[in-house]
Amino acid sequence: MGDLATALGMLADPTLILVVLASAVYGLFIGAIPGLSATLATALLVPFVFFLDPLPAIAAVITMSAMAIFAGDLPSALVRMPGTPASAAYTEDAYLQTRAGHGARALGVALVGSVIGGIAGAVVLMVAAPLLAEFALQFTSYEYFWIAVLGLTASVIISAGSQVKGAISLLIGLILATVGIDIALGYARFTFGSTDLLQGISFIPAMIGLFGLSEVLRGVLRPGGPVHVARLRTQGMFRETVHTLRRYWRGMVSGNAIGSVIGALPGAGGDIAAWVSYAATKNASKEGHLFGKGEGHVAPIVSAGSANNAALASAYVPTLVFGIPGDTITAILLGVLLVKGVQPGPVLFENDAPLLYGIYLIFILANLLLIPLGYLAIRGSAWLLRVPSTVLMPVIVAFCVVGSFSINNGYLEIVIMLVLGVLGYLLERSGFPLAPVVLGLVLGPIVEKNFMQSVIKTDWDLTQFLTRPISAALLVLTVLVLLYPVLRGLLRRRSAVDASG
Amino acid sequence: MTADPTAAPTGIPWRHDLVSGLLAAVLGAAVVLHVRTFPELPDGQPGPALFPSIVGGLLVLFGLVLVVRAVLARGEPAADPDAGITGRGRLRALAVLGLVVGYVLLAETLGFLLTMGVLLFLLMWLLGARPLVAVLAAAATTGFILLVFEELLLVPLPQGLFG
Repeated sequence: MGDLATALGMLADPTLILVVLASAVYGLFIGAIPGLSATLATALLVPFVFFLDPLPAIAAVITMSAMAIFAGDLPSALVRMPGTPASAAYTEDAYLQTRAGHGARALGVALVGSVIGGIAGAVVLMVAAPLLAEFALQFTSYEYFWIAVLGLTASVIISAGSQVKGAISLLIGLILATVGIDIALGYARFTFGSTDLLQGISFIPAMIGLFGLSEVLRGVLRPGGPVHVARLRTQGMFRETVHTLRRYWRGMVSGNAIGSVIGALPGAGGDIAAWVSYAATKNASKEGHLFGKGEGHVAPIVSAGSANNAALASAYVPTLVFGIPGDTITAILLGVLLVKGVQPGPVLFENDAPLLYGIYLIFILANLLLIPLGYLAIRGSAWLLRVPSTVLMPVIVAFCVVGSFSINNGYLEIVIMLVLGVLGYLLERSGFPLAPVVLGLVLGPIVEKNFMQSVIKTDWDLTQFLTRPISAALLVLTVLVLLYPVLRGLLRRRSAVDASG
Repeated sequence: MTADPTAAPTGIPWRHDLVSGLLAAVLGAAVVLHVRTFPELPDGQPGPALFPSIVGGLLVLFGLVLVVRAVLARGEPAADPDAGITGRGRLRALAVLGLVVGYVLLAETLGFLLTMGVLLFLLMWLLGARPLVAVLAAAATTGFILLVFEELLLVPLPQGLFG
C-alpha cells in the first residue's frame, strides 16, 4: 500500500498535471484531424516527453493516445472521414447516424464507450501484467530470444494486408536495426565510414519520419477538397447515450474483451481491434444487415468504439512485462524509455512498483478526464475540423525537423527522419504495413543480443534453445502462430465443404 | 462495411509488386554479399555477420515470393496507388522535402529563426495559404518552437550569423 501512496504523491505533482492536460488537448486536436493518426501524434510528442521524467513522459503518451483515439470518431460522424485509422471500421455507421439526426447520440456512445473501454483495458493491464511478470522472472536470455521472435512473428501474421509484404517490412526494420556497432565484436556494420552512424539509426527521428513526414507527404500529394461539416444537436445527448449503452451492453462487453486481447498482441493495435470487433458484432447481431447502410447503426459504434480504447491500454501488458510493444504507440514509447534508461521487464515489477502504480492510475485518470474534455470536443468539433491543412502540414514538418534535431542536436537525425519519411511513404503506397518496420527496429537488437549472449555463454550449444521447458513452449507457440494462416485456410475450406455437402 | 484492411488482396497492381519484390531481393542479396567481409569470432564462429546474413537471406526469399505472386496475379483487377495524384501534388511533396533539405543546408549559417521562418512561409504559400495568413502562421510557429524548445526544453537551436 505504501507504493500506492507514493504513486498518488507522484500524481499530485503540478508539472505532471500540466503535462496531462496539455497532452489531452493535443491528443483531441490531432485525433480530430482526418489523416493524422495517434501514432503520428506520439511521434511528434516524443521530442517533448524526451526531456521529462519517466512517469510524466508515459502519462503524456497515455493521455494523448486515449484522447486521440476518441477524437478520431468526431470527423467520422461529421465529415465521413476517420480522424485516426482506429475509427475507420465504423465511420460509415457514425456518418449515416449523423445524417439521420442521431449524430450526438453516436458521438456520446463513442465517448462513453471509449471511457469504459479504456478503463476495462487498464483493469486487464493491472491484473495480467503482474501475473505475467512473476512468470517472466524465470526467463533467461533463451526465453527472451524466443519471446522477441514470437513478437516478430505475430507482428507479421496479424499485419494488415499481405503477410509477405508484412514480412518484408519487418526485415527492412531488422536490417535498419543492425546499423552501427555490433554487440558480439564491436564491429561497425553498415556505417559507410560515418562516425555518427556508429550508434545506429536513432529510433526517435526514425519514428518521426516513418509516421510524421510520410503522413504529410501523403496529405499534400492528394489534398482533399472543401468538406461539408454536418451539424449536431447535443441536447439530451447523455440521457440517450446511457439508454443506448444499456440496450447494447453485450456488444460493449465483447468489444472490451476483443480489444483487450488484440491490443496485447504485438503489432496489432486499436485499428485491428476495431475491425475485428465490428465483424464480431455484425455476426452476433440480428440487425447486422443494417450496419453501414441506410441510417447506419449504433451497435458497432458501441462495440468497436470501446474495443479500440481497450486495446490502447492492454498494449502496455507485453510492453511493460517483456519489453515487446503491443502496438506502434507503445513501440515508440518503449524506444523513449530505453533511451532514458528505463528497461521494461519483470524486474521493473519488483523494483519500481510506484512507477507501475503511477501508470495504472494515469490510465484511470486519463479516461475520467476524457468525459469532460471529450464532451467539449464534441461541442467544438465543427470548429476543430476547420483548421486549414495548408497551414497545418507545414507546421507538422517544422516539428518533425526540430523534434528530430533536438534528440541529439544533430543534423544526421534530420536526415534520418527525411530518408525514413520518404521510405515510409513509398512502403505504404505499395501496400507494405509500417508497424512491422517499427517492431523490427525495436526487437531486432533484443533478438540478436539474447541469441549471441546465449550461444557465447554455452559455446554454441543450440540445444538449450529447444530443451529448456519455457523455451520449448515459446518455440511451439511461435510455430503455431506461423501456421495460423494455413490452419485458418484449412478450417475455412472444411467448413465450406461441410456446408456444400 | 467498407473494405476490410485485414482481408488478403492488397489491390496493388502486379507490376508494382514485381518491382518492390525485386528491390527487396536485391537489397537482401547486397546485404548478404557485403557481410561476408565482416570478421568472425576468435574461434571461427559466426559473429557480426550472422544476423544480417539471416535477415538478408530472408529478404531475398520473401522478395522472390512477392515476385512469383505478382506474376501469378497478372491480369487481376487492381487499384492504381497513384490515382488522384496530380503534377501539382508532386510539386507540393517536393516542396515539403525542400523545406527539410533547405533547413539542413542553411540552418547553421542563417540560424533557426530566419531559416525556419522563411522556409515555413514559402511552404505555406506554395500549398495555397493566403500570403498574410502564411506570414502570421509562419511567424507564430517559429516563435512557438523557439519558446518551447529553447526556453522550456533547453535545446540549443542553431544561432547562425545573426544570432
